[in-house]
Amino acid sequence: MSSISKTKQDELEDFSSATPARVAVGRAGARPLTKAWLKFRVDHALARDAVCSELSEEFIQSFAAANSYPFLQSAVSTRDEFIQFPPRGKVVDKIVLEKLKTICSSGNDVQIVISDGLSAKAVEKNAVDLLPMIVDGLKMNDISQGTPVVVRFGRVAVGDQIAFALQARLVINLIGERPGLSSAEGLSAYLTYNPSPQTISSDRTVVSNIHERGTPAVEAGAYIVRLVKTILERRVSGVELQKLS
Amino acid sequence: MTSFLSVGIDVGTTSTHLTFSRLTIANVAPANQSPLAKIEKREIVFQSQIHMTPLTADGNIDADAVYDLIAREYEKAAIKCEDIKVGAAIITGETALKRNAQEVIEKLSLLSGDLVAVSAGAHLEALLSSRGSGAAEASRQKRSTILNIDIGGGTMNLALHKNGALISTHCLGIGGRCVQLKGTNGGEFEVIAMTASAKAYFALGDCVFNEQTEDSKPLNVKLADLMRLADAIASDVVCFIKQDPRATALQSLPLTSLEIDWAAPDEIWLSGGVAEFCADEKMNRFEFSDLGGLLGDALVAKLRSSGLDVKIPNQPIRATVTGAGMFSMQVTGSTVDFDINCLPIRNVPLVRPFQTSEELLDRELVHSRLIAALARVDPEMRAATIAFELPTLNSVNDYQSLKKIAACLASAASRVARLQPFILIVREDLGMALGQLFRQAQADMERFALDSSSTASQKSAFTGALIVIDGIDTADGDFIDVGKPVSLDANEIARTLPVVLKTLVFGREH
Repeated sequence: MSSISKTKQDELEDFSSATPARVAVGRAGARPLTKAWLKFRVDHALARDAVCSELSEEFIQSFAAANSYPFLQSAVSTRDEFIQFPPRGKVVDKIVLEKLKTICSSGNDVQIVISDGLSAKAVEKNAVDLLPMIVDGLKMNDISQGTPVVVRFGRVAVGDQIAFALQARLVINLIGERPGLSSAEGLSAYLTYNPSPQTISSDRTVVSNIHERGTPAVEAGAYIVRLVKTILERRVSGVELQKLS
Repeated sequence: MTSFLSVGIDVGTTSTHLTFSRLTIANVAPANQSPLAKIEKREIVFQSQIHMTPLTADGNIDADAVYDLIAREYEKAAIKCEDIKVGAAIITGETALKRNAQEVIEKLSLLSGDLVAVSAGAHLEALLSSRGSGAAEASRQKRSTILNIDIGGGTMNLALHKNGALISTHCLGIGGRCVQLKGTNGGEFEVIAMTASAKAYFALGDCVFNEQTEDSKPLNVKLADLMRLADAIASDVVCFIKQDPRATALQSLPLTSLEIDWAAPDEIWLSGGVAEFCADEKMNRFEFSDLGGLLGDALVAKLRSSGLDVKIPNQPIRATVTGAGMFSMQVTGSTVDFDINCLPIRNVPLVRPFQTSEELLDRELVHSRLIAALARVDPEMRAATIAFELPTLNSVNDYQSLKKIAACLASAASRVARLQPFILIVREDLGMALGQLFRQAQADMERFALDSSSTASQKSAFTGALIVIDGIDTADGDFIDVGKPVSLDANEIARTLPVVLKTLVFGREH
């Protein structure tokens, strides 16, 4: 490093500060510097932790229970099983759905589902600011909504089943994203019109990268409300929505 | 992707001309992310001839003649005013001080479209010419510090960029037309007009020729005298660039404003009419019968001999007009909030009444700050409304805090009901969120008022129109124009607002 002049060093810092990627981290021989290597290990560990993280008891109490949001679990019984068998995280037992029908209102415009997905941390971090923005916004626009449902061990498609059972026109699944090495706390919102067990991925409109350094949760909330309005008007979501002109 | 035509008009001390450009706005966010509007392409579609600025017999700008001249260029380009969406008409340098600058501005407004900032002011001119010359972009690409000096007939406008970011602008109240000459008369020139700045130079002791001559007698000067005058000015400019205190002589010139912020430049770029001489050695030094040619030569020589790297861009005279046409417009973030009926809106003063985001959590403080800002900026209650730029909201971007802030702002807005629409400028990507929370607070206040059976007029105060924008750089000026929304997709989910920041300075003699 000492061979690089002060201004060159400044330039390098300028460039590398423009991206969270691991550029210009220095090297010792053929290997990265210990500092950079440790940082990489830490970030990797954080990502792995996020994948293995579960919604904490405290969060379930303060977020779901305190607001009387139903809390249920997919057809998976442990986090390990959830990671190893992705399809099982997309379904909910019939008995659970039948019970849900008795406690939740049906036939609403929108059903919100909050799932841990591949980062429960992302949900704990962002849902508190994101959800009330969406709930408020829908209310202001006279769009009816069912009681939000919180799902443990849920993947994106789990929302389709829940919304289908509750006969909602549109489902929003707020779900923890697969962590990367620069953020383990990213949340995505999947919006699907006419959700059903037949829904496929191209039917979904998604807003990704909702986190501190991406789109702020509150701003994403306001934007999702605008998306919901458009999708309900156009009666279509996903790729078909983008094709409209 | 949307593209539209932009115009740049430059009415200077010496020359008047225009440029039409096509700007293309596109969503540059990666797929599946919240949209991000950006001006993706800027192309010049037409450049007018360079005309001498028409003046009346008493030395004012001939507003009608300027109007006709610009109108003819529109015809030549086969472009109608209603085709023009944005742009800027700049009344530059000394011209802005002329008594009828306001009249010219009003005339030009008739020729401009939706959102053409018609304005004057050295800060904006310096900034736009440094963008138009390419100096600002070169500074960004090379990660260097570049000073652009746009030398016109009446003023030199300096803009200093470091790594692409504007550090400061400066104005020196002297230019190529400080002395107007009439042909050679046996090796001598007859001085037919001299500005206060040129006179000041003589008074400073660099006396090339004394003003002993009586008014009736024509003043004749030698080429060597003129060269010494040009050298004296150039030396002071170099002193100023080197931040040598001797350059303080410059400060006594009319129109001069020197900001404090400074960084030693790696390169000096010369643009403006006088720089045309620097670009073309063969050009007749007395083409415009003034000091321009000699001043350009003296500047290049003095800058180079003092070790500064001098660059002359292509078409230096067009730097301001190119900047006005291509770089005056910004686009807001594409998640913003606005009542479309209020748009476009022009000439809104911009104020920053808050230091920290914590202040926004205090309802009474917010109200008193708004009132104080209003009294300061608009004591005569002339402006229809005022735009408030908020401090960074990074530490209060959670739902609860932002809701509280929105409630405080909405409450204050209802008590200053004449601000229609109520305009907020947010630094972070929070415009749409703040807009939603603000409207919610308005609705809550209305409901409360209904409950306590207030009058209808009181009720309406709570539901005033609103514009909340983010994603713009407000360093460009103290007045803002906001245009009609531009959609980034066929479903109009993402919409951005074109914005022009500007400065307005009229007849503020120093």
